[in-house]
Amino acid sequence: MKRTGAKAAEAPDFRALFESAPGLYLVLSPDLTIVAVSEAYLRATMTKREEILGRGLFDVFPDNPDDPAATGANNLRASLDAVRQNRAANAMAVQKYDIRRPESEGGGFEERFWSPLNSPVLDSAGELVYIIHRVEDVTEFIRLKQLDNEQQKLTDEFRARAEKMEGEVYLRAQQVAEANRQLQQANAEMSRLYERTKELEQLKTQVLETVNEAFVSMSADGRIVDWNLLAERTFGWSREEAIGRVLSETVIPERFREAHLRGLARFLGSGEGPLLNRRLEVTALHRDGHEFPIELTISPLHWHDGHVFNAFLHDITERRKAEEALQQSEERFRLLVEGVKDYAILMLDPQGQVVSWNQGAERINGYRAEEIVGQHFSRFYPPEDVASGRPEIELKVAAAEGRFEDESFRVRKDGSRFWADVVITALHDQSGKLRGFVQFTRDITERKRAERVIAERTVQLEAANQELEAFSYAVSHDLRAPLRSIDGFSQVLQEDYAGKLGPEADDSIRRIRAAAGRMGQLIDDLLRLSRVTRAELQRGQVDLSEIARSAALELARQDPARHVDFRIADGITVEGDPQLLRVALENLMSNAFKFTSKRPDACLEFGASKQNGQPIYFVRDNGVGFDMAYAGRLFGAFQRLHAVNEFPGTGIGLATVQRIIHRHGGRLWTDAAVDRGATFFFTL
Amino acid sequence: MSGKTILLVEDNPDDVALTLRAFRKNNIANEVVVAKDGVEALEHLLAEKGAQEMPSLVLLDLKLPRLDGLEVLRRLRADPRTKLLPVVILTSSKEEQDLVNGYALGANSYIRKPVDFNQFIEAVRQLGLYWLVLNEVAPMGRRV
Repeated sequence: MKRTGAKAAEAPDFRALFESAPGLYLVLSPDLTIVAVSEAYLRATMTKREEILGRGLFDVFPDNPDDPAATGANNLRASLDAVRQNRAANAMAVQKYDIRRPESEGGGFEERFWSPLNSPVLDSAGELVYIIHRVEDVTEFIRLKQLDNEQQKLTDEFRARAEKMEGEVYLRAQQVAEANRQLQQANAEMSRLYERTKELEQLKTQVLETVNEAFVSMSADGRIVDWNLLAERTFGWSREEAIGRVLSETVIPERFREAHLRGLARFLGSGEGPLLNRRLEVTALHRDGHEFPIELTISPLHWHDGHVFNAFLHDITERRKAEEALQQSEERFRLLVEGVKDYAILMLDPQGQVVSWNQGAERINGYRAEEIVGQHFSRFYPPEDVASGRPEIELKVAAAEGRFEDESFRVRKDGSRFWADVVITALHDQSGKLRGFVQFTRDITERKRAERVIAERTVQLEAANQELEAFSYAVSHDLRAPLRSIDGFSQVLQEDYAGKLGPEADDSIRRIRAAAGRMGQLIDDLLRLSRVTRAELQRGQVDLSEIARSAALELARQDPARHVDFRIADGITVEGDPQLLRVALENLMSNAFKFTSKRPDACLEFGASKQNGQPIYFVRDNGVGFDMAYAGRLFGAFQRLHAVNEFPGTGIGLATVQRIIHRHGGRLWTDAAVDRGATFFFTL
Repeated sequence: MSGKTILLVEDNPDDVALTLRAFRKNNIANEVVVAKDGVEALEHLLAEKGAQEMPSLVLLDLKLPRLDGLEVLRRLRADPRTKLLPVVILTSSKEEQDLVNGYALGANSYIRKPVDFNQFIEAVRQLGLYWLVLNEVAPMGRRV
């Protein structure tokens, strides 16, 4: 291309124009390779175009190696980076940047000052194409000021340039000030962020100390990077000791370390971590060497260029113990329930399907567990009950009321029926949700049979009792009437024919009347005995002392000639039937009274003592007593140990007393010796 | 006093004889009318025929043929004419149910015949003294 003779119509030769422009220009590609340069620049930097085109900027203009304070290259690089990044012009403050002197002129570096401005050249898409690096050589100006050179000529010569340059310098200074301001702002933002980061770090530490879990963090190289207070307590290593240690050697028992390292390597290699982000239960190692179970969750976190692994964990020794205890207890109960043979114990789910089955159930219902588990429990009911919906109704009642009890027929596997006593209890969980039922079944066929027999016997007994009533009534009324006739008409004879019949006849009549009297007494006593058996107990408070006292008064009244020393203890009250107890005590008292009739110093005592904490009541006399060899006969009806003419009586009294005591659930016994008195003891 | 009659309701002729003897022994001279069962007793007391004088006292046995003594008593107490008539139950029975029922139906007294005739005479003596001498009969005991 010709450089001269340019025609007006043609585009001017920009290259020539650029190269001869008066300013100092250097054009750089984005990678800072020198692509063009003006003549003025070459002159100012003592370089030749062919030597610098195509070379890197800093290759051509390195820092002065003899100036340890040289900052030119760095500052220039920063400015150019700013241009590249921001796509905007960047003015630099006046910069010392020494220039290499050509070897022909002696070599070394020459001190220079520059005022550079770097501007981007963008293409239509806004992409950076070139950077124009424009500089003013202010070396002289600086030097002038430094040397205070008063050469007016020079001063004059440079003043115009200096003024112009000062304006530009001022402008640059403005730009620099703005940049500084922005830098200050950036600094403030930075330190705010730094404070915030510190706060967050503190917050993190606080959270990790208060969280109820041990926290352990591990870097990708397997070392501990964080460790909270609970981790200290859990593993026995302080935070200072733990941080930096290899995790696996610190908390993992030796036999598991290899697996741990393999897992870590696998994750770092493939990103696969099947155990991550899951609740795990593993064995951990304490500093003192003991191992313990922990529950932990490991979460990997992408952090800067690598990974950290955070784990929250806690010691579950106590929980394990509780679980084991529970398991053992459950096992015991399972064995217990399974071993029960007299009861069928089965669990049902809320729908009534059999869930568990014990030996008793197998024995009673005939099914083996594997045959019946999963089946509906309605198959234990007779078909008519199933048809009427009884099984479902029973479950519904149990669910609503907590419990259902029933006695009804159930069906065995072989189809036979049995009477079952069934209790169905609903099982609820803590939230009150129905979990199922437990059913206890007992085969009560035998008991039912026995109950039927008892019911039949009861009916028979009631009939017999009614007959006895009728009999007693007849005895009371009809048997006595002839006696009255015998006695009455004997007396008629005695009165109307006195002295006419002779002494033998008179004696016979007397005997007839005595016998009639005795028979009347016998009938009365028998009736009383039967009444004691038949009468229903009317329980109440009974003052035995009072009864004994009134009986004593009555006895003394009947035989005023006798002198008897009655010793009756006060305040003996019991619970029982007042009328029957009165009959019993009066009987014992009158017995004692009767059998002391031949003693001038008769003594009759009523009192109470205690034996094995149970009160014992007694009636004691110092009468004729009896031989204990015959004591067994004492309480049978019509049994007498003494002749009637010696001591009158029908022999029914003690039988009546015994019945009364027995009806109260008590015991009657005696202690006596011939001529040494008798004591009758009873409990109630 | 002697004009007042006693109605003795008793089916056992021995008891009738002994009772009459006991009256005699006690100098009770009232006329004694004997009814041999409950029906006869009611006919005597409640019959419309004739204006019979009401007895001063009825001695009523309980165990009677046809209509028993408690039923007789119930009907006497249901009738305004005999509602307040003194009725003494005189029986062998000492059964509690008879005592309770007798008083519940309005018996004025209940006496058990003792086996011993001497005691019986004493009982009749007291009975006669009380009911025929001391006791004032309610005016409504008369026929209205």
